[in-house]
Amino acid sequence: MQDEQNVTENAGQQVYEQNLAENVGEQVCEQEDNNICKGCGRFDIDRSENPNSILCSACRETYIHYPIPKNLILVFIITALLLGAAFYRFPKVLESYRIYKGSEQMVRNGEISTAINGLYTVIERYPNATSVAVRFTDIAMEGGRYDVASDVISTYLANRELSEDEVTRINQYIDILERYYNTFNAVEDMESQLDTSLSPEEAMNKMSEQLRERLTLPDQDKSVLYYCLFMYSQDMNEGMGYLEKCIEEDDTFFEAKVQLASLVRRQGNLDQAEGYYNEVLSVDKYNSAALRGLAIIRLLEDNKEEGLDLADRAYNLDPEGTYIWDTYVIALKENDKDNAADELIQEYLSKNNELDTDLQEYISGNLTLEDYYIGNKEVE
Amino acid sequence: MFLIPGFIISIITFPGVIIHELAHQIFCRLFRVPVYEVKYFQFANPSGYVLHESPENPWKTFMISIGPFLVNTFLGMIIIAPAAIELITFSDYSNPLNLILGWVGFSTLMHAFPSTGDAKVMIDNILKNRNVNLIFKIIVSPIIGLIYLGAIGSVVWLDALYAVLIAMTIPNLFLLF
Repeated sequence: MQDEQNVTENAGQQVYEQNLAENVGEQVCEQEDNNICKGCGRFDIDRSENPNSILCSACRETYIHYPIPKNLILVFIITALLLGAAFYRFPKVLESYRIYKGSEQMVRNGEISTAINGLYTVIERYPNATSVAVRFTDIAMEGGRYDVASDVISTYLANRELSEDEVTRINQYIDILERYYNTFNAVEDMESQLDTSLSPEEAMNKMSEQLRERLTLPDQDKSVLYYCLFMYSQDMNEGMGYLEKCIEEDDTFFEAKVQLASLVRRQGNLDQAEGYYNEVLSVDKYNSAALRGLAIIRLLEDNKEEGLDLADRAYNLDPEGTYIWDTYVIALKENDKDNAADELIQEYLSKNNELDTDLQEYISGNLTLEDYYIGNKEVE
Repeated sequence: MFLIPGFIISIITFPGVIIHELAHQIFCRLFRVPVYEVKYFQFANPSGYVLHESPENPWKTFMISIGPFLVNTFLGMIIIAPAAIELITFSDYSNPLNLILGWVGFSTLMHAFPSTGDAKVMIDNILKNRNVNLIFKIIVSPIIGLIYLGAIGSVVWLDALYAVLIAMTIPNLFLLF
């Protein structure tokens, strides 16, 4: 019997071939005759398929079709039904996974806003997913989206178990965020404590003086202080200097880059301005302020069509954004789409808004595009 | 490294044992090899086995022996796929359906490796068989080596590692489509 059968068994177990051979011997063979089927004991052994056969052709067929227990089939049917139920909701799960896995690539493609919006939907669906929260924080910090990073850390990472590396990294982020927000709060306190009897010019000088003093303190976010110094600056060149220092301190301070680009453009240096806008757009291709800035550059370069396209994109992304509406109206006018521009203006005025003086001058034809966007105008 | 006796692992992961034995049985049926007895699962050592005729064709022996690797891997992948993302990546254990499928899928994958018994059958019927040509023996030898490696590796949780790797890989395969 030993030569006529194999035992294939479960992993990691010993072979019990001898015992099993004896068992089968009892079950299928009580005959000594080698030519008689050891299954039924009546017919000749059929060796046409296998010389090792111990069965007649009828028994061979029976043993080949050794039955699978019905209750096992029932278990498989239940498992299949469970699988069906699981696969029914699988597309949503897979979509979340796709966002999570693709988020870093999205950032590399300059789609940080898309990545952040996507990761928000994932983390809201899976609030316990620390891996998602950690990646989300990494991306938000990398993109200078400190509001998002602090929200994710406080909501989804507080008191969670993390690896040693993650703890170190998140703690570093927390230090940066604390310094950033503490500095902003300190500046707000300074503003609220200003003597109300001071003239606006005196108030700005006072604020600048206090901000400069703060620069010497070790626990301050210098990029924030430089940005505030720019806000209180009354000189364009000085303001540009502060913005440059702000960016030197924090390369992800995109608001500062956009402001610097606008100032550079006002000086007539369109190439340099475009460089700054592109730097911002390379990280966030949906940054409405940078799109709006680039739209102006294209309009000034007489590439009106692309200018309108960019202004349109900025407007669709953020219709309430600073000067985005104005730029869109101007881009429409520059492309001879007066009707569309007038419709926008009427809609704007119907909401009890008033047009900016320069915009009125431009619309009435008293101010050229160049006059409007180049030269010493108030900071945008 | 913590060690748990094999029979306890087999009890915990019994769905994988059942599918492993069923795979042997299915491959026997596919290759028209009579099966004398099947024990899908038992609280003993071995926890399951299939007793079948010794095929004359070494190719049949080979396929019957590695059948569980193919079936358990394929079925395990399908079963664990919808649960793996939420359980492994998103650490979401709130859905009982995922827990059931995760357990069945993981058990199935853990028992994908052919046993040393399966390898022994291949040695007897292929390597020691004078009627089998040398090229086939050369091809099969490293596979038998891998089976032994897998069986020995299960002591250091190689089978569990295999299950985890597959569970982590399968969601990425879905992303390709």
